[in-house]
Amino acid sequence: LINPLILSVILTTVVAGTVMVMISSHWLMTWIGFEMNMLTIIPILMKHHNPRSTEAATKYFLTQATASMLLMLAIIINLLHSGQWTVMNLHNPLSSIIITLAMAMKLGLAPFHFWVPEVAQGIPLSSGLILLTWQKLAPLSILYMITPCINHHMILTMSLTSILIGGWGGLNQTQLRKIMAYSSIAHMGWMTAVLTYNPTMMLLNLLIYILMTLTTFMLFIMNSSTTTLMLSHTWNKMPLITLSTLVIMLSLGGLPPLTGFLPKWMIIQEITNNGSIMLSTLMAVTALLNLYFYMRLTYATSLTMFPTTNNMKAKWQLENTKKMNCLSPLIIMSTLTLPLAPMMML
Amino acid sequence: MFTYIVFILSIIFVIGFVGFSSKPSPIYGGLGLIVSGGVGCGIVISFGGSFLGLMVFLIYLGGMLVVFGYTTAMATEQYPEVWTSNVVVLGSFIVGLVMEVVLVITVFKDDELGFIFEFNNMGDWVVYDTGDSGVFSKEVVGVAALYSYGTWLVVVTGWTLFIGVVVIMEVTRGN
Repeated sequence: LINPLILSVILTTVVAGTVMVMISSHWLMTWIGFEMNMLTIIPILMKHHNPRSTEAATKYFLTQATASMLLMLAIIINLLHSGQWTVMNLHNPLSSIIITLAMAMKLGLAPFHFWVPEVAQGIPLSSGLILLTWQKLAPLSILYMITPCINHHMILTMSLTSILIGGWGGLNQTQLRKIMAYSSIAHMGWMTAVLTYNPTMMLLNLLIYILMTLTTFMLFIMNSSTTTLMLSHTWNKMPLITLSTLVIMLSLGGLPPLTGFLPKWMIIQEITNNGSIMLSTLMAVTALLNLYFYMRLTYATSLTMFPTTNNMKAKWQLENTKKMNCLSPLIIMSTLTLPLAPMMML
Repeated sequence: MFTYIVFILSIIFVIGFVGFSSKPSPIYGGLGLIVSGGVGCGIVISFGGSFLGLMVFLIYLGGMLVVFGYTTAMATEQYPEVWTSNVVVLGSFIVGLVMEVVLVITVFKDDELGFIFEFNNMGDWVVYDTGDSGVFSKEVVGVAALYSYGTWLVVVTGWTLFIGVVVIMEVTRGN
């Protein structure tokens, strides 16, 4: 669909954009990194040229361009008040607020979350994978770098609202990409909530979220399933995948013996140790909303055998055509690494 | 009047921007860009950067905008939407104009405008030469620094421009 030579150039520039955001010490270069990233992910979102993908790519472009404009405004205000362009030295509270808002728009935090489900729905599954995992790295690294200057009230409001909206918004969905989009909104809320308390926990949550979302999307791609109904035919095609879907969904929901519990546990511990008991209780309770729709997916996939037509029942004989080399280690890393938690204390 | 030339040019700059951001047809948007680009050149030249101002005229207005004008002329409709076509465009243009007029009147009445930064009436906008620039003007030194200290920036911007063309061709391929 895309000429492989051009695809390699485009993917290199996507990676180069994010890496430039992460390694730059000059604010202008971080802005350039964001623009490079956004510009080159547009053809990846539009891999299949249909009007729905074009609409999704346009929505993505408009919101991200507005966020980049806000970032440039904050950089100029910072320059006006301090005369220097160094990252990690924000001298002006207005500049810090505007950068936080710009990064919230890029991440899809509430109240700027409206583009995430619509863009995720309009693009192919593999593009959705890149959108929901790789594209979160650059804005979160900027937020990590300006952590001492972030306005606590604003970011805690945005993150709590994101967790609520991520939970409630995903309840009525049957399309898998929209479910993953709302899951992404909720997880971004968890990450930015702990950012001002202990930024290392944000990185832990990011790492584990990327692992789990990567695995989930790879399972969906293996099935070529984009709705719950299509996912429920998995018992027929690859019964082993139904087991993997079960444990991945429970891990995403944050249930204890699985890896997904580790970031939630650490985050609740950090927030409670700093005295915000109400916040951590609210976050833990609203994570149940997320767990409900993951459980519904699990119910449809693994716990019941949905009826199908007769000629659908013989597909288990056919071999899988998609090469998924990394899927086994990813499944193991996304579900069984909770006992490694004591290693973090070293 | 010529003391305040930068202020007047920047008012025309903003009006040009309002003209194309109220979204008439792209041809008239290009007209707004020409006005803003020319006036922006004037501002840069007023601050002593004659080389960079003329570069903007030559490359931006004389190269990129010309190509933009030709492609828009190929793709335009029979009756393009002008500023007075419908209420929406006219309304947004007038809102932008009104806000600019209010800003100008505020600057003239109070001597200070402390909105995001301290703007003390014309103090920053009247250009005067303190004479400490040495033999070379600052903008020539800046251009030289771009190609010596700023090698990484040149590499990055060159690559991004190339990637911009690649992306646009990939997006408009259509099959």
